[in-house]
Amino acid sequence: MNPEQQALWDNIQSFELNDPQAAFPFVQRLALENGWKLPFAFRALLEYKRFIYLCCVAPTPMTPSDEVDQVWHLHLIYTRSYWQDFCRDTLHREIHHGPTKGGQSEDAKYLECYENTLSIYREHFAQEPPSDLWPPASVRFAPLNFRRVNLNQYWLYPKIFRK
Amino acid sequence: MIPDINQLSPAEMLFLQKPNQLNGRKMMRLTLLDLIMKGVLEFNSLEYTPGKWVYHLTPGQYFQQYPPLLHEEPFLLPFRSGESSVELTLLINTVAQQAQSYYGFQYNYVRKTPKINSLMPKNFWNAFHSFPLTTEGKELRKDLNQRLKQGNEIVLNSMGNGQKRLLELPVLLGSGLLLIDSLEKILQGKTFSEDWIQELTNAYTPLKQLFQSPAGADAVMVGGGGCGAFFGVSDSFGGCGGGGCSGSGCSGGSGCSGGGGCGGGGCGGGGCGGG
Repeated sequence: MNPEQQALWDNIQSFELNDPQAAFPFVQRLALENGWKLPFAFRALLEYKRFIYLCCVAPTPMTPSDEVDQVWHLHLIYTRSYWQDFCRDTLHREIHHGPTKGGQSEDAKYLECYENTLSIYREHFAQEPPSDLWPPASVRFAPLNFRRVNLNQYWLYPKIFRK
Repeated sequence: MIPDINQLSPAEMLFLQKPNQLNGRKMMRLTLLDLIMKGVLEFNSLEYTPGKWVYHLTPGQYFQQYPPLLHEEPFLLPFRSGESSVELTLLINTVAQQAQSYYGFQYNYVRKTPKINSLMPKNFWNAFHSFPLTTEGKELRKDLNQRLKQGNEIVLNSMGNGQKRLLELPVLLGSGLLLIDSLEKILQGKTFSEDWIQELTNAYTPLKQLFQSPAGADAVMVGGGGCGAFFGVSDSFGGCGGGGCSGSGCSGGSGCSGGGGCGGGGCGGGGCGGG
């Protein structure tokens, strides 16, 4: 990181996602909605910040892991925090979230982008991305079938044989 | 090599003193108090609404250079992720979830620190969670108990007069002074000129209340998914606080605000990009 990038990273890292006055802070909501434990959620926050930093400094579009993407989605819901406090006042630029349009060519594009993101991550942070938060592309782009489920109305059991 | 008694953390000392008792909850409280006393974390009280105090931890002046012990690391994890302030209950829950349970904190973290490991030989009884001490360990425990007795006398003698004698405690016991039974009596509502004891005074009572629990609660597993599954920590601190933990909708009953609604398509299978 050059001094300018370091200053940007320091700003991003110290950005407060958890409102100190909130009874139900961001990280707790992130953990609850994803079925994560709090230590994992805190680590995911850090990786999200790293991802956003990469979006700012990398010359090509970046693609997050699914875990990091969940943090991003949640942050986007807090519109004032995301657009005003984070993008406008901290990053001084807008970082837009671009979902896939679907189809094979898009799949290939995002796979390549993800590989590229991992490689730029290594370059900038001089370390391997943690594999539980940045899985290999083969895992990241394995078929997913997520759905929103009200656990007060359904029981969930793991399948014996999983894809 | 036998460790010097005042180089042990208070949680390690408690383990040394009573290796076969369930003390995970108390060990967690002592570890946090110790980190506050050492200036690694700072304890802050804020009264957002009259009569309702909220407690926060922030990195202290020695946060960056302090090399944490195994059982201290979970307390620092949120701050290493860049958080500059973490609410007390949230921090305790994070540590408890990391350790799987209060007993997990005692068994997987405190017991496995190198100093404690060297005082407890691996043997058959470990399989039954029984931890006999080595000869050195027994000697060290004897020394600890003597020093605690001495420390207790110093505290009792300093009540009402001679607060200066309290400064002998760190020399005698290191941060093990937190294990002195009568310490609480001198901390309440007092003002001290020494930073470490003032920090201790500020945090002691709120933390004691937070960790108060029925006997045997150490054996109860905490953790599980999210915050809803948990919170034996303290009823008085209200678990997740207010609303929001019941599961549905946006936080705390108020729903989403703003003009456009909050639907949206998600990313499908393919991922998404930013830049």
